[in-house]
Amino acid sequence: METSILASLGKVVLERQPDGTFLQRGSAPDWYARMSRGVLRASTPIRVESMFPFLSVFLPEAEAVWRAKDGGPTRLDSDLWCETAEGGEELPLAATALLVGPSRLLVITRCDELFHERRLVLQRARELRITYDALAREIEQKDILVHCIVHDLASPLQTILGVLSSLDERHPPSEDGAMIDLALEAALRQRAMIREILAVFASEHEDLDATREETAVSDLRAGLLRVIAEHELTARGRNVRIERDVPRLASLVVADEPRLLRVLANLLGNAVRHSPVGGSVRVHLREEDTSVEVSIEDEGPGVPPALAPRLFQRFGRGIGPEAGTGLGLYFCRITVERWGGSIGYTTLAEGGARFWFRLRKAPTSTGALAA
Amino acid sequence: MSTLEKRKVCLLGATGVGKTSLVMRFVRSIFSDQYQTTIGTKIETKHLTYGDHVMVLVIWDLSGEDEFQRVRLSYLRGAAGYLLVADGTRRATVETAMALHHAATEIVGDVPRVLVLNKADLRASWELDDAHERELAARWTVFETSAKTGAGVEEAFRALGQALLQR
Repeated sequence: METSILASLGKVVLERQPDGTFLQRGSAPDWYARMSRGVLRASTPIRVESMFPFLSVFLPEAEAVWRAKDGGPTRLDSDLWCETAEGGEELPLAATALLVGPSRLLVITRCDELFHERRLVLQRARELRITYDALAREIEQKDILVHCIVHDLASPLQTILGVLSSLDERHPPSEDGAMIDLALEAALRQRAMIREILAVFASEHEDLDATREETAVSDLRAGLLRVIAEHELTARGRNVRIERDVPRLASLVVADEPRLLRVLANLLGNAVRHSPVGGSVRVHLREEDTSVEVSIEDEGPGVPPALAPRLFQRFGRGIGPEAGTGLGLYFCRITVERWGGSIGYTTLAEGGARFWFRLRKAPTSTGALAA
Repeated sequence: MSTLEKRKVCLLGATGVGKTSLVMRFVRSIFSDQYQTTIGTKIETKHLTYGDHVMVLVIWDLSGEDEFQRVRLSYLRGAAGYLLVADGTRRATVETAMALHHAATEIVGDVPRVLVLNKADLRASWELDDAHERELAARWTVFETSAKTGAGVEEAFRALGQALLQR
């Protein structure tokens, strides 16, 4: 009775004999009867590994179960495998080795449902991975195309800037001169935006050379003072005061200078641009145990709460004239993080925005090299 | 006609490179565009004739290696040789194949093997360039195959069988 039930569940029970052959116990399901069509009778000893080659790797493991002493495991399940029956029928199977009293049993189960469920889940996961990889490759190719287009846009701009500069020098202050100044300013702004896009591209696509990134060292304080000096003129033009709290301290950090200056210029430029006329921008440099922090505070409107969570993502401040390229803060984040630093934004209780970033001290400034 | 013993050979490679399709093409001369991932192990047999000799290849098609499933290399035990399969349109699959090769040699030692670069019907989309392929060919017996068209499939399996015969 029990073996009939097992057969109707798609299971065949075989008992291991002392000589390593197996004898069928009870009824066999249809699938097994078809597979064992050359076997004369159910009582004929068989070599299961000849009928099911997969078992050649499972039986050695099963022997450990069948030899189990008191307390050892008395059951072992195989992985799923698939046999092909006559006519190309696919038979998903799984084997279980059991020790029941003195009987050393091998139960082979046809498990279509489990097989198809597992295949469905795994296949879906793999298809998604393949789609993801294909999309990533496509995005990369499009990025390269955009880079080429932006790069090409910069070439005629150089000519436009050259012509406008010469016209600006020739014309005395007049209505024409004001228009030329306006055009020159717009062209310079466009060049800055193009440079920003190209810088982001370079940061995203250059090969990461961990050693070079680790060994690049810059003086954060010197860089900060230089960028402040460069922005003084623009700030004065807007009647914005830059207040500095930049004490002398060990400010050698892990960073390479050109990109560090660009990060500083991005943050300070934003602060000046968003400050109200007559307001002030405060720049602080602070030493911590293992890092040095720069923070820049302004008295502008701050960042709308809805934008704050994606502020450092691509186009995090939207796309439009007021948002620039939408890549400046994104560039700052990926650059700072590449050096092992961190960057962030907080609102100020009294209003305005506070942007900060921390960079790891270079080994020389912590004394690690000397040690 | 003398008959040789059965020889177990395994197919190893990253997921989706076309291992099962190669076996289906070789054993049953069929191909399906519908991708069906292999669960566990799929076993097929094929008789190969070399002059007076008949060899029964017992082909173990092992599930692909990826982040979702590891290849159970213990299943290589008893293998007389193996086919490493990579997908020419995905360069990373060559690296996976090489990693599997190194792991396989730990288990079965220095046995005959061939490297199969599948999906030759998509040659225009290959990520593998000629230089890389030449570099591989200097170290491996390489076959460009297409399970879809059947190109190179029989040759790859027969070459492995021939190498088994000579051992």
